[in-house]
Amino acid sequence: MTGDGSGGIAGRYRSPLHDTRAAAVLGLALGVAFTTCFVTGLLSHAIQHPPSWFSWPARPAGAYRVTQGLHVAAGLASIPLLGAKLWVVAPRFWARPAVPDLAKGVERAMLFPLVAGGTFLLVTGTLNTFQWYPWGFSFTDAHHWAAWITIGGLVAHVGAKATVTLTSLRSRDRAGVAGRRRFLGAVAFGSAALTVATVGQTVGPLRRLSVLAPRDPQVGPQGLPVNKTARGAGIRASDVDGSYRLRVSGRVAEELELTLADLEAMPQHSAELPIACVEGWSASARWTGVRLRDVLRQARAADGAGVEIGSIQRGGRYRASTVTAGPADDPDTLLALRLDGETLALDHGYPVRLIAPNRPGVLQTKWVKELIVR
Amino acid sequence: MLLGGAVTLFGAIGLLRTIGDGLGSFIAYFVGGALLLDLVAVPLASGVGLLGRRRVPAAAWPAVRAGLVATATLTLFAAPLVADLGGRPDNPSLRPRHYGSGLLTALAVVWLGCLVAAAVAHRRYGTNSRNRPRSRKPTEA
Repeated sequence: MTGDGSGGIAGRYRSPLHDTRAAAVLGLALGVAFTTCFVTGLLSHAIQHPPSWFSWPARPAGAYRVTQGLHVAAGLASIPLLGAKLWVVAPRFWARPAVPDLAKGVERAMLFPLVAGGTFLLVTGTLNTFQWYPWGFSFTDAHHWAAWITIGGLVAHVGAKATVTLTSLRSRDRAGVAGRRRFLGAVAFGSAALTVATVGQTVGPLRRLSVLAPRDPQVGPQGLPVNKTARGAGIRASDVDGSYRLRVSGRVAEELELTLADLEAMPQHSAELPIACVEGWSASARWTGVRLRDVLRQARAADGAGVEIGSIQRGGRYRASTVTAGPADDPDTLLALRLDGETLALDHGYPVRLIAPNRPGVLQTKWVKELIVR
Repeated sequence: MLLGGAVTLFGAIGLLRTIGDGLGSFIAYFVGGALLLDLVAVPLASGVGLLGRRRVPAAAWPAVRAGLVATATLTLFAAPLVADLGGRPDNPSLRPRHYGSGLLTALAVVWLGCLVAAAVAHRRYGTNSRNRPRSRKPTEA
């Protein structure tokens, strides 16, 4: 037993598994998982809201699908880890006195942002993969700031427990090792089961095994999943008929108004690129269209300028995105007209969508109607 | 400790600046989650564990426990999908599977493995107290 606060509710926990070593191992696993989530999550945030010093390259083309796939997989795998850890340390939760001294009081107080924040992140993150938002706050803002709140708690907890954890992990004390291994094995089994049941939404070859995955990378219009449908974006038939024009303006020598026929007459280029979304799923496809840089050259855009891509979609956070100079010049950054050889489906952004390597799904703007060179 | 506190404070300030009307809902979820875990889920798990240890033959218990952990994890995760909470009917590429049967399939696979492992352990170690999986104290909950 850990030896603090016997009697009362704490004393009711008699299993020898409520020990320091089990807590240490689970703590280490959770630390690794949450740190992975924090780093990959912050990266995803920075790509979408770049601070002035940050730039995200266009290569390797599949880096974002890996980092975001890892983010969601690590988060889901943490679910049984967090539950088990809280069970192992449960006797301490009830320990009396609650605040023996100031240092211990602060240490315990910082557990609140860690436990509450960790739970909040796992719940909101998981529900986001289902696209279910039964709450009154903005998911992206709340999830992002809760991450900072939680990591602060994690840093404090690591600081408080570092010595005891390292001592415990290095200890050669063999008492209870078989029982503890079986227990930890059970927890690992839970994580593995959930991982196998879901990770096929981004790891294509496993898609048949992942019976609980909220997405299948091969299911959707034209065999590719969709987040925002045309109906969800408020796209009307009159927006995409013969009156459609792609307008190019801003820091250009020549403003353009291109019809769909004009775009189809330009040299076409194909690229195999993934759509990778924040929910942790990704799917690759063959896109065909006009190179963004070719359109910019035709308009004689200013050198080294970025481009704001605007959509027919009228509201919402993601109705426009920015392509910086580097990715704008990439030969695989396309204004796509075709998906796997077929004309783009309306739900995939007909008549034109942006598709670029190593770019989060929300920034692959659909129903593109204007390029503003800045 | 100080660094952790500073980081948390940074997060809290950022939250307050951007959350607007959603603050009440945020607090409810933030506090509620931790309370549900510590006051409901953990004691429930303890109760199930207690029951399991008493009813299941000792050698078979570790495999059965593994099955229970996996069952709780998968069911908790899949519940909103099985109950079809919050879906979007205009987007068939979202939640394209039959999650009820998917969950049952997953649980069947889990329990097939666990019951086989439990039976093997029970046969091998039986109720021979010398070979029972050892623990630190002679009495255990």
